[in-house]
Amino acid sequence: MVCNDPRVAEYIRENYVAVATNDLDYVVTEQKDKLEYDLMQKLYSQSPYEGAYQGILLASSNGKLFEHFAGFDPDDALRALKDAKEAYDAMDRDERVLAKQLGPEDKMRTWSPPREGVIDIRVTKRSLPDERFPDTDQRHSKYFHFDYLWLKPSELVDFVPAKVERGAVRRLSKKYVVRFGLTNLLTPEPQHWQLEHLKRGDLRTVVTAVKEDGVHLRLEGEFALDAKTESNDSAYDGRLLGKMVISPDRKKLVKFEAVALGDADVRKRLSHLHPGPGDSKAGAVFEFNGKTDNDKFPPSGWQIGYQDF
Amino acid sequence: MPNKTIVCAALLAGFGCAGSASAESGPSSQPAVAASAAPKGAVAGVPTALSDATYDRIKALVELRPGELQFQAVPWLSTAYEGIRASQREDKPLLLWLYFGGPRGAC
Repeated sequence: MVCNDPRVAEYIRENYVAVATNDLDYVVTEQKDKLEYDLMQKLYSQSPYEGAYQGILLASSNGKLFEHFAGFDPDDALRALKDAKEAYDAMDRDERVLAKQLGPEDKMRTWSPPREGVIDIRVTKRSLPDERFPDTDQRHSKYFHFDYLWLKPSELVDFVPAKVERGAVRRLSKKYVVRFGLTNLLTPEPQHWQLEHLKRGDLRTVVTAVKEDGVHLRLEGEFALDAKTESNDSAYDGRLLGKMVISPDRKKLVKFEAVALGDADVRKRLSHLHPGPGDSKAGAVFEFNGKTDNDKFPPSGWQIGYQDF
Repeated sequence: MPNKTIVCAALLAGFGCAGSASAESGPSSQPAVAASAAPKGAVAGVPTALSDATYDRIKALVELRPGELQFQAVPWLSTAYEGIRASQREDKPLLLWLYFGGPRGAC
């Protein structure tokens, strides 16, 4: 990722105001009367990639687009950042800075799920090393992808078997199967799984010990996904193993980690993303998320599996 | 919430996060499931199936590596609205990473 090049990260931090957000919020919306929407459309209208809404846009607040790119080569990105900064500086201040101070009436409603008090788990996804994949393929093992999984402290009780003794098993309800197996996209890149794509799924806990710090559980799961849509013609079949410790009062997740590995098969491949073969070994690691503002991001499939959240 | 089935992979070039590896003991001592046949292209020492025996190795291959969180040095904002206001205030150009949350999100 371009921003993991320290030169790029530093240049952005020093010279830009950076926004990382969901492109669809500015495309699929009914809030077309907002100035925020108008400004985004003004930028898109200057893009050389007609109809493309994704990518990195470099612009002025007054709506001048300098660059729209999507490559991940750090040298190219740095060059684009410097060129755009130079073009920005060459403009008169009145020309580059939007004169109207934006107020609440100009703001689009953005999707913002409740986050307070959630147990926030980060899912890091990466394909296992495989010699068949060129490093331009998003499933090459040098690329990682994130997703997030949330639990409410009040849900922890659902993970503990009724009889708390070594070997006792608790089969988890479908919402947890969906959160672990579907909304957190165990494949290394978004594949747009929907509920109907979950063909088989099972998730359960097994008591391994009962200690002073709480109930020690082994987490086990299997998931099979299959989709055949315009944006996702692929399948995944995998297994998950993990361990967790839930406090004696069942209100705190004391320890948590899990690993998943599956056979992913991208049947419809895009030449710029998937120059390699269709099949790959897709891995995922689940662990507590970080605590910085930059870590605050909701699960990708929010609402699927989180209806009662 | 917008329907995410629409776009993602359809764009220009890839957006994966590349960076420049640790382990703990596996989940416990249940029997391993049978390993599937090694796929073409498999690299020596890379497991082909998840079991208690391969748990730590797979975790180490997948988890974040040193240097892969450089992007955290950038104070990312979450909406164009916030970005435009800050750009006005600081008289700096805007960088809008529009791809399911960019480095922080699902891509």
